[in-house]
Amino acid sequence: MNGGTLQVDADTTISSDSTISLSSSSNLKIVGGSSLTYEGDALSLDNKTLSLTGGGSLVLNSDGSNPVTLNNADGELEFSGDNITTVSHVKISSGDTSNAPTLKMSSNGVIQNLAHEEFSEINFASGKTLSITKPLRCLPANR
Amino acid sequence: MTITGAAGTLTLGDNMTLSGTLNLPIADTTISGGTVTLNGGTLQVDEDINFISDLAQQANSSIVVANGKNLNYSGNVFNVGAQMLTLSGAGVFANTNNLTLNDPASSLKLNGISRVDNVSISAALTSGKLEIAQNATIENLAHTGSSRLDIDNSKVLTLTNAFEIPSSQSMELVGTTMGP
Repeated sequence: MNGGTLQVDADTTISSDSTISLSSSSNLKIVGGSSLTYEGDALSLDNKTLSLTGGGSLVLNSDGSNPVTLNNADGELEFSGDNITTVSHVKISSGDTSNAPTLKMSSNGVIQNLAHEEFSEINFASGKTLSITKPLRCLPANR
Repeated sequence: MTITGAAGTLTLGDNMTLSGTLNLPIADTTISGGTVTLNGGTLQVDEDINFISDLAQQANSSIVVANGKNLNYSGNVFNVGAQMLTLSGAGVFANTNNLTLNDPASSLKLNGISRVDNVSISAALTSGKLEIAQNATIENLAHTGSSRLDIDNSKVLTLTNAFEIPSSQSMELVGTTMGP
C-alpha cells in the first residue's frame, strides 16, 4: 500500500500467499458487517500510519502469528470514520518512555487481542473509546 | 502505556495485568470494565480520572496521584492481598468501595497521598501493617480485624470519622518511632 485505500465491501480473504506491506501511510476501509481475513505475514507499520475505517472487522490469524504490528516508535494505527472498526490482533513491539507507537482513536474502535511488549501511546479524540476485549499484559521496565 | 489527547475511554473486556506503568495525564479519562491487576507496576495519575474498572493486586505495586488531583475509583472492593500497596503523590484516592487489608500480610503504605476515602482492615494483620510514611487522612476506617499501625517519626494520620475496634480485636502501634 502506497498511500491508497484498500476497500473491502464484502467478506474477503487474503491468503497466506500474499502479504500486505506499507510503503507509505495508507487506508483500509472495511464496510460494516464485512470482514477482511488476512492470512499473510504480520502487517508491520514501520514509521507509517494505517487508518482503519468503515466499521467492519480485520481478522488476523487466531494464534496471533500475524498481528498488525507497531514495530516503530513513529508508527500509528488510527481508528477513524463514523463506525466502529474491529481488529482481532495488534502487537506493540517498539518505543521508549519519550516516543512510543500510537493507537490513535479518532473514532471508537475495538482491539480484541493486544500484545503489549514495549511502550505505547493511546491518543483519544474527545469522547472516543478504545475497547480491548481480551486479557492484556503491560510488561515491566516502565512499559 | 500512556493516554494522550483528549478525554476518552479505555474499556477492558477482561484483565489488564500491569507490570509496567499506566500513565493517565489527561483530565476526565475513563477506565472501565474488566480488572486492572497491579503486578509490580505503577498507576500514575496526573489529572482527575474516573476509574470504574476493578483494581486487584498480585505483587507489591504503587499508585501515584499528583498533587491536587483525584483518582475517582468506583470499582469493587480493592483487596491489597498479601503484598504492599504504596500510595503517594499528594493527591486523593477517592474510592467509593473499600481499599481492604484482607490478608494477614497486607500492607498499605501512605507515602504522600493526602487522603484516602475508605479503608477497611478485615484481616488480623501479622506481618502486614498500615504504614504512615507521610501525613495522610483516612476519611472512613472500617476496623473489623486487628491492625498494626506504623507511624513514621513526626508524621500524622488523621482519621476523620469515628470507628470502632471491636471486642476481641486490637490495634497495635508498631515501629521504632511514633508520630506526635
